[in-house]
Amino acid sequence: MPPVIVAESVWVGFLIRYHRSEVTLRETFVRLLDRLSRNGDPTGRWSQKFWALRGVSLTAQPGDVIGIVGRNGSGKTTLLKTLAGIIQPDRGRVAVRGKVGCLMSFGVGFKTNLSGRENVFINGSILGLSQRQIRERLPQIIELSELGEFIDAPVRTYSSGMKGRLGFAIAVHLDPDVLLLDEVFGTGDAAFREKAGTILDQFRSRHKTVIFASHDMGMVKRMCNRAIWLDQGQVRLCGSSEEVARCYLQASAPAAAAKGK
Amino acid sequence: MSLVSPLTEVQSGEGALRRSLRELLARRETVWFLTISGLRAGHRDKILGNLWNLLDPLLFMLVYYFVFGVLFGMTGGARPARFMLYILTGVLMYRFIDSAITQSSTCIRANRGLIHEISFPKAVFPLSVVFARLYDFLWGLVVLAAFLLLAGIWPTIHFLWLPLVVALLVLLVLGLSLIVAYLGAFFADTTNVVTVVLRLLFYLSPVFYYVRERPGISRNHVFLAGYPTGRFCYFLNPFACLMESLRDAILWGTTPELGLTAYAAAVALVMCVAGFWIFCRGEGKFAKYV
Repeated sequence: MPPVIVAESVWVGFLIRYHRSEVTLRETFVRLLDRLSRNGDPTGRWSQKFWALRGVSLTAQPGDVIGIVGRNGSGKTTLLKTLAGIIQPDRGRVAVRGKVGCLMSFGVGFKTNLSGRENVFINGSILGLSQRQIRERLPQIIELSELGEFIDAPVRTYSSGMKGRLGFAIAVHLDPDVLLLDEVFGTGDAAFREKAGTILDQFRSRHKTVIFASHDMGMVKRMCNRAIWLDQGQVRLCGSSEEVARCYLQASAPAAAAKGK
Repeated sequence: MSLVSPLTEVQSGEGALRRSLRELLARRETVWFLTISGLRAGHRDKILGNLWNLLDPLLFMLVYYFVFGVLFGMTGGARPARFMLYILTGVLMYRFIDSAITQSSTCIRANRGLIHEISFPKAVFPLSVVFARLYDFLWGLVVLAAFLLLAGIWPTIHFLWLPLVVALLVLLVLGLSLIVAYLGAFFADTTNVVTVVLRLLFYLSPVFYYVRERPGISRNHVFLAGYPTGRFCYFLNPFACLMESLRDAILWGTTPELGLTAYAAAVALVMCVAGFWIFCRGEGKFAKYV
């Protein structure tokens, strides 16, 4: 079958800035003068390029559930964001077939002063659903998110678990061909994980593709057919989820893994 | 079926602008929805609520009338009511320009959460800002019309120029808003610069003084009356042209000075195209910088 996602040697770099987090016009002007005075040497003491992804390649078939594992800062989130089209690769190529739904670190995209219901409409609309489609799917979204009457409370009053469930419910009801999830099961309780697992199985049986980043190897082994281990922006291992999870656990805690044997 | 749909390249490059515009067109509803929710949220906590959108220009009109009409005696022989309406036209238009462009300068950063989480055409934010402020402006024009009738100034056939002038104004403001929103995404202090420039624009636009001789106004009170070169430079500001065109149509009841309107139309079209071009080509970088 033709692949749903093709990523070929993707490089993504960020500028690490030493002095302040925000770029300002004033600073840019000073920098320009500084650069002119040093005869156009572009790399200076202002910032440094950090490569979050160094030539990552990935192909996903319909029906694949792929887990991405790796330590903090290994590039999992950057990879998912690049696949989702949120970040553009500096080098390499990313192509996706069909509609992409993504859910990144929880609930940052919500407008905290508005109610959960209003946020469903805003997010749904930005994700490409029509008002009518959102209205039709609203009862299911509320049901899956288990928010009940809290759907009309401002999102700032929600717990992180509630925000996570709402975000997951919206992402799933977008009915994407490719679903990208970043650490979304971290905040949910056991019952919710169970439910989410069922939904991901449904996705797989309908030949949709799911890619998710997780630190929970149990989850990766149970739900994924393939897994990728990212290390410092590079693919260290790509294979069956069993194998990748085992190697990753061995490498990150050799002592514990040895004791387990 | 998803399998027959083509692989879509994620990154920018050839055709990025066209794809951006097509996606934007598909998000018409989003723009509409953000506009409405922005309007609703704007005055939710205030006692007088949306009434402020109408009260605010009226109060400023009174302030300017008091300062420039009474204290400085700049009415130029016009009746107080007419001078007040002259000011109100200018104030309404300037408020639209000022609020739309200022808010656009922060709209990308204000929505950084969404930008980090979802891929979509970011132009929905400046567009919805401009439309929300346009809504206020149009209500202001309704109030202005009521006051014109109260002052005994009846609409003439030249009133029909109004939609054209407003459309040109929207194109111009939209273009500038897109450019400012783009700069605001990369430079955190864009708003500071924009505020100062807009303040300068206020004084360089005929909000509370005359720049053209009109029936019933003494020539002594017309700014740059004897300086054709100065006048030419003054009207390089397209907002001044549009402000005068608007007044011709609804206050003075004549055909707008077509040279001014045509010049403003040309600038508006160029700005609008430039705005979309700059914004849509650069929006792919927002998530990394914001």
